[in-house]
Amino acid sequence: MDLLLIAWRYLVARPITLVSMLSVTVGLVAIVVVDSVMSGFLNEQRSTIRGLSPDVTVTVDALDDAAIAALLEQLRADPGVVSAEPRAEAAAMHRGAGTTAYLGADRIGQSYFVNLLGMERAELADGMRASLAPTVVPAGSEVHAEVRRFLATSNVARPDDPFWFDPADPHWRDRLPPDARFRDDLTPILFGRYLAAQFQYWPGTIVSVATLAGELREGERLAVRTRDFVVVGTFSSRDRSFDDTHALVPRERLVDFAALAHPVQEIALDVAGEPAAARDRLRTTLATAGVPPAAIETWEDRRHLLLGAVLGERRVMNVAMFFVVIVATFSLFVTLHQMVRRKTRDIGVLVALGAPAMHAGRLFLLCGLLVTLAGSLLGLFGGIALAHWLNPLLDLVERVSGFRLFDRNLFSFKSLPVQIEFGRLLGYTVASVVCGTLFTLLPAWRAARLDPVEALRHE
Amino acid sequence: MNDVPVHAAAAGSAAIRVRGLERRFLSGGQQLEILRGVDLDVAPGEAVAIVGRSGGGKSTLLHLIGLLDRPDGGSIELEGIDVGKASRRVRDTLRRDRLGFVFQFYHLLPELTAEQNVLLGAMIGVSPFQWMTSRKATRAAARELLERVGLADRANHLPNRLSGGERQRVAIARALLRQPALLLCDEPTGNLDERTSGEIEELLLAIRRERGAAMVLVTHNLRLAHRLDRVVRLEGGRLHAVQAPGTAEGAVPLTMA
Repeated sequence: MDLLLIAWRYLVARPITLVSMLSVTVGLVAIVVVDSVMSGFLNEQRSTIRGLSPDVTVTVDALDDAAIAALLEQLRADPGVVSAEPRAEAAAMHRGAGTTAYLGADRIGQSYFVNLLGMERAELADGMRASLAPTVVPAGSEVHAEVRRFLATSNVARPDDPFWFDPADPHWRDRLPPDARFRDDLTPILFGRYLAAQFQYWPGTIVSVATLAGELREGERLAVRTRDFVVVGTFSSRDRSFDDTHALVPRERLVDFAALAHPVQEIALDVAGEPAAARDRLRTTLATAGVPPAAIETWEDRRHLLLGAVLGERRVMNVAMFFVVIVATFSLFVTLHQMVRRKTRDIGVLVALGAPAMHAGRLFLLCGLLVTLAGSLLGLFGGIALAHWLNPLLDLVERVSGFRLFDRNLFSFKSLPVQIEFGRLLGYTVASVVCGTLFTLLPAWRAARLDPVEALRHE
Repeated sequence: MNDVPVHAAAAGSAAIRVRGLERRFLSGGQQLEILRGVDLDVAPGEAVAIVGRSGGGKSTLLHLIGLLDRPDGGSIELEGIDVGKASRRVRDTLRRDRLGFVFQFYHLLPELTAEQNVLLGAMIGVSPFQWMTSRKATRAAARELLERVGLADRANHLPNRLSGGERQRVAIARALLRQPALLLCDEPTGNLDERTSGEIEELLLAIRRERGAAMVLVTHNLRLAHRLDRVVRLEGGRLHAVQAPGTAEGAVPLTMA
């Protein structure tokens, strides 16, 4: 009981212990905020990787229509498969009216190349949004129905969505071609938001697209095909590189336009439950049915290098955070060391009053534990609060001082991504308490080893 | 002055019994023999003053009797227990429950109030739960002691708000809280002016009479020493009996026996 009383009195009587506690607090606040922002970025990165990839992809290798149909039938028969969508891709160049495309680019950094991704529906992944241009595609028309079918309803932007195309918006109104109307002979195309802005591809813009057609057989020459597409909207995933290099078109139109020898290159599966379990099950099912595809991979299988890099970032951060914890708690060593020197005589008194030699060690260990525990808990809750209100705070700083810490356009984020992972933060807190306690071990050991007679004589 | 060991009580009833106590220290590469076979018996309730030159080993002897240090030779029995053979835990318990210390420089913990300083001895080795159950009674005892030493109204004062005499009174109250069998005082008036020193003398003597505890008191204050039951001088590493003032040297040792 005396330990608690003395430790408490020692701590409140010395401002230096407050400094030590604040050092731990500040260190942990920094860790919590950095970890939360890092987690936010990593999760954005992971969800971007995840978002653009189907749960499971079945790569199809040179199968004819009948084989693909059989494969699709098998896949759709699986109770775990929610949807199976054939996809195809072709490289192309694009050119808008009034522009000239010079072999890929007319200035460094500007590319006219685009990958046309042919989909049954533009079933964009979570986080992707497509804007449909309602003035260009008259509601109720057959064309409108086709475009709506192409654009998955769930992903079409709503009026309250920032990507919503508002025809009354002067920004759009001034840019829309005066005769912008959807024509039946045109193929709908969706460009990435930034790519569309770069080339001024507004809804209704007619864009000429060129591609190399079909397979090149012996004795044949390369055949370039061109076709006019109409921009029916834009899309935006959270992956800028994807948005800048892809355009979405209906798959059948792409097959026809590019005369693709293989109208289906892969089948994107949306599955219920764990993708890895579905992958293993489908591998067995398809092998038994005798319709083996080239490969069945989960989204994690396909992006394992990138995901590995994400994990690597996390590991590097853990090491960095560990050093922050060490630096933040090191001041405890200095404080406790000093305290033992100043309180040497008290140690002698305690022993004279009947305390065992270890008692003094426990006293200073308790002092260290109280400081590091209080500092760590304050840091944990302070850090969580700061991380929670980080974006409003940054906005406030920007409004007051004009200083912008985070350029939202850089990563296409509306705000700084913050994810508070309590388990990890608790781990850092425990690490901080353990580190702080370890730093007090040496002074505590020194106190425990003091000769009580010498301690009583200490000046 | 007699060059003989000073035995005051029968072996069975001694509060403290010291035989052939030796203590050596290394200093500047040289071994100094501070105590060379000290013998001392103190009966229960007896008060013995130890006088002698500074650096003669008085405090060393007190520390050995107080179980703060271990001798190089000889034995110490505290209420019949051979503390030389006792475990560290037993020695700690004896020190806590059977011994009380009063130091020259008071040695109060500056962060604790007078009352908390007095309570300290009762708190050591007690869990918060045990303390919750015994707190009321212990606090009442501490208050009573503070009242006895004339500091009832200063219970909540920190030591730096107390005078030297008041601090020593708190230290005396602290030493008495666990009702020790033996009170060890190391120059308790050595840091006080004459008037305060006289007050502390009176207090110590009165409390000893009231409580009946044995006392070993190291002092340079001969007036105080001669008010105790017996005076011994530590010289050349051994104890010698000192005669009462006015009696012939070497005639009658001042003993309780």
